Amino acid sequence: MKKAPQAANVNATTHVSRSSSSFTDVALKPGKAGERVPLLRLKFFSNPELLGVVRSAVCSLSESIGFTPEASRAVIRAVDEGLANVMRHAYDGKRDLPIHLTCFSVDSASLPTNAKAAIEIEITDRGIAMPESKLDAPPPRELQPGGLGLDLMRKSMDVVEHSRRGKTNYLRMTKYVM
Amino acid sequence: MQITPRHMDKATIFDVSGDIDLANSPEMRKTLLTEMRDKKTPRVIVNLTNVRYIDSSGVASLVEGLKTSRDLGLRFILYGLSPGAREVLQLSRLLKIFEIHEDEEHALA
Repeated sequence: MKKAPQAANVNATTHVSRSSSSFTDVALKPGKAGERVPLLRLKFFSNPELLGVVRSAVCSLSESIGFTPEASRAVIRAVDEGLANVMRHAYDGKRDLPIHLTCFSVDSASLPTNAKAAIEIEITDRGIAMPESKLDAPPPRELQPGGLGLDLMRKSMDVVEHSRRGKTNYLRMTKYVM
Repeated sequence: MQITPRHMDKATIFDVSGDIDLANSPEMRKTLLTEMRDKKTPRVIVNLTNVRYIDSSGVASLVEGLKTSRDLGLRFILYGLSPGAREVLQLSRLLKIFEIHEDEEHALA
């Protein structure tokens, strides 16, 4: 019998009320210039069994804010690959360490001229930093193992940035709705 | 994710269902490689009709299946790709590396 995921305490907090206006309206018309509006926060453990839970949540959110199915799949792919990298490399396969994921809407003043909306994803962990040699590596060749996840993230999103502050790794990714 | 082999006269079809990701791609890889090495049926077919999502570790498992099939002199075929599965193979520049068919009938033809 398959063991249930250890980290079942997925805490989801949405920062948008559906009572006065629709979710889509709020996401597409965020607040002040330069302001990032948090739409969804998830805190979970580094257990790969939870990847499907996170993909479902991010899929619902991206479709809610007007992303096409193809664009939603791109966001999900990038989030999943980013989390898999944290689980495999930053946390070296340990299943009980914390990961935070926050989805933000982006204010209209910060969007490229032809973009209608955007979603920004921030993933943080407290594991080993991604080596610069991996970040600077060229895309993998055909049938070459390794490096495919990062390449998929870069091809799926408009912005992918890795950074480290103190002992925390930050992965920030942005996708625009054109 | 579930993977179930169906043995036919000259082909083994692996029916895969569910999402393929870091949590279960090692299981898919093990099943594929073990069956291929044990049975050595001339045609190995992976039915992805019921797979909505496949990540880079799943793609890597399929690549291992393809490499093993080449080593053993077998044909390795995929069919029933969802838009998401097709996209990930395209982005990985593997769409033309695999033999891909629309459905089981064509995969067996």
